[in-house]
Amino acid sequence: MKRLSLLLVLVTILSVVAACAPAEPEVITETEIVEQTVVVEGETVVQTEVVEKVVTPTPEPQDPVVVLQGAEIISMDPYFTQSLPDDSVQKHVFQMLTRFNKDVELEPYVAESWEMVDELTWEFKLKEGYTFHNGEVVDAHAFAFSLNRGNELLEAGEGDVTYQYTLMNMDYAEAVDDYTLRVVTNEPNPIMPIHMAHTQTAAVPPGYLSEHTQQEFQQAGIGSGPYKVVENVPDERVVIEAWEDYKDGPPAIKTIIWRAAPEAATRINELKAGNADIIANVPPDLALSVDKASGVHMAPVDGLRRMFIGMHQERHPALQQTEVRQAINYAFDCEGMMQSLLAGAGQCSGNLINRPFSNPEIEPYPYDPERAAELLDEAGWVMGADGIREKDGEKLSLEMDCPNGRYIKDSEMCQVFGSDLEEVGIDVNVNILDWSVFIGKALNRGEGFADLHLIGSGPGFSPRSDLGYIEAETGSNRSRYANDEITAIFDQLKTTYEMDKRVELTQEIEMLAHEDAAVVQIYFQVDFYAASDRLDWEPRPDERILLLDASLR
Amino acid sequence: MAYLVRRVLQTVIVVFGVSVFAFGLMFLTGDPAEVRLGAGADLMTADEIQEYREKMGYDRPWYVQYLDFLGGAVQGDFGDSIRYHEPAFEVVRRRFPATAQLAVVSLLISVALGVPIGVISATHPNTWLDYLTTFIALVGQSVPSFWLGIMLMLIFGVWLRWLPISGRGGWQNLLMPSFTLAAFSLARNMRLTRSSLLEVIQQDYVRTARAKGLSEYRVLFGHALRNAMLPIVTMIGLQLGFLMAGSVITESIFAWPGVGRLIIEAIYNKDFPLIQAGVTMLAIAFTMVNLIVDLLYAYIDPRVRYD
Repeated sequence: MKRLSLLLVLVTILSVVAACAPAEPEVITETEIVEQTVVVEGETVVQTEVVEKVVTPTPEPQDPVVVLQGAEIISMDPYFTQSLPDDSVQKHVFQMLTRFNKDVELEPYVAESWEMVDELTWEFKLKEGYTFHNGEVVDAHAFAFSLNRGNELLEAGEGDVTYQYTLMNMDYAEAVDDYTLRVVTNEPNPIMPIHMAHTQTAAVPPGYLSEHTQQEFQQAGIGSGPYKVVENVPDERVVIEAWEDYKDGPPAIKTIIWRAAPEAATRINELKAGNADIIANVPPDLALSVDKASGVHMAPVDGLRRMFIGMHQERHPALQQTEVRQAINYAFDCEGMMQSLLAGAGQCSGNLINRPFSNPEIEPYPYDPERAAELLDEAGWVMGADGIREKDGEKLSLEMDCPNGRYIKDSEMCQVFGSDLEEVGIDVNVNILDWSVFIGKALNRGEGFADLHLIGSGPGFSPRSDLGYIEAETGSNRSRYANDEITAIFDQLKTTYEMDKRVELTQEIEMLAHEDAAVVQIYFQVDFYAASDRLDWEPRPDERILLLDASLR
Repeated sequence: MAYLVRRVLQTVIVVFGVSVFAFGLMFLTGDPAEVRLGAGADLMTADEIQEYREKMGYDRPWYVQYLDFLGGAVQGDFGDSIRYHEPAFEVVRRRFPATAQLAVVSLLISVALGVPIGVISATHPNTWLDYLTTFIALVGQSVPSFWLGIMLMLIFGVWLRWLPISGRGGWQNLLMPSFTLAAFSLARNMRLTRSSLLEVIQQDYVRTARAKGLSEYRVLFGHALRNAMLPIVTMIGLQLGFLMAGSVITESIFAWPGVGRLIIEAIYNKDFPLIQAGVTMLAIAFTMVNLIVDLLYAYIDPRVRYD
């Protein structure tokens, strides 16, 4: 009985193993009757032969590539959203006159060339041959319609174009001929080609929009890019497919599914389970677990979002002294913070301008608490008995507003920063705030901000706009910093149109701001992506996920 | 009839109070005009912002704005969502079925498992079975839902690959989120069933039924459980409202496109019309469920008086 049971167990195990063994690939054959005419003994004879041939199997359809972002796609109308996840999808579906390549360098897209014909007018020459997914032609008329639509939305207070179209300050756009577009501005705008890379200047189909509502267009997302929208389930997913009729040839990845998962743990689990191919915003402390998993890998990239600490000029009087601001920079151990919070993934920087326009001569302030103490003494802030510096009876106690969960390790950064300053006698009380509360304080040029605040600023894609934070009287200047020397150079910029000269002037501003310690520049945020090994894809530094050049291994 | 009228009036007052609160949120978080303009406000002059403020009506007295809001709200018009650029009511309505589906399935699970386990526990007091079920209840009420959800995801989604991890789809997509949401309610139903049934089992009429020679099955299900179910029915009815309103964590973990997550994101983005629409509609759903439960309870149990 025992032997019989053992035999049964063995048979069962063998059966299971056999079932689990990888199957031999199926060989598909088909028979074919081949006729051959031959001459036999002077007579022409037709011989037939039955031949068995191995048939090449039809390739399996390519599995869709799944991209998992942190928020759902809100709209497929680029003029009605500023959301980054939306922008990533829209850059596959829509075309602009120009675009930024993976090295964040401006290059032609639908426009093949451009020039500034006078102070207020830019002329773009367009390539021929592009069409919308519904067959309409992409020409200067379509672009004029699209850009004027943006202006109309701005005037009507509709859409989500306030920021972009206020920045462009465009009067109107017109088609000189079918493939020559002129854009007329209200004031000289030397960086119009850079603005034309923004998705909110994309070509949208005039014919479709004249016959359909904006809601219908928002759902359909008809563009002229290498991908077209095939499915749009609001709040769930957007599916795009490579467009076979794209003028420059369809991209390698056939189908991309865009989904969202707010929780980082969910995104990571989806990637590990093989349900996602690219995920965004991986917390750095979970990067190791992703790298250890089979079939997936981390894909970090030095981003363009600068993290810095603003020092409000209308709060504590100490912050109005250059020596104190410099001391704060010296007191802060940036490298130590990168190691402890980001496992060394961040790169400390003293630059305010994004590469490639940043001033190469600027080095970040070194960690030097002795030098910080000297500067504070020079400024008259002497160490008190309680370990807090004071001057004329006033304590050097600062309040710091800090967002929570908006940026990588933001609240932790504030606490580390605060403790560094306390080492040199500056008392810092950190207020950790939910982003919705924090951003309310940022309104009206930082009216609600305390003495210090941690904030990030995304890429402006032009050196001029990267400096908005320190330009006096602008809305972005949330610490209300002002420097007469810098203001004079900003005035000079308004009438300087050559790009090389503009870069020179902005680098000069950047150096002055650095020497004056306008802010405490920390680092350019590292963006942590993760991807499946089956995908040949490189992340971009501008927080957009693009698969136009990607392929499956 | 008097009771019905009184309860309906109470419901209306509660919803009215919630609408005032939802409307007032707009003023607690900064200038509505600048919030609505977002980053664009940085590029505009003070005069331009004032012009926008007047255009949107934000310069009117708060009570005028509230009456305007109330007049629209009773017609389902909360204005357009700042983020979605479509009527806020439509955005919320579109998400409601997902939340309702999750809440109802969670409720069914919590009842289908919680009540029988509670019965088993009550009929086997102070046995290993009783201790085990009590332990399960303790765990169910102690374990945070976000931890439970992620553990289920890891086991069934990543290791075993039996179930999809996130998103809405077929019944397979519903299993993990509904179990996560049901865990606390399941444990509570189990404990309530156990204690209610234990109390009823001690009653004289149950002893009499046994003395008459009725089978234990008949005693339990024909007499004891029927009387023990009254508080359980009340709790179950109330749970539906709580499940709908409290599903935000589960919806976030499993990327379930429901109303709870929508409202949290709306708060994050300061999308006032969407917050107002979502909070008001959830309040209406919650109070309506409570009203129905209260009316049912009064109908089921004639002994109940609400003087």
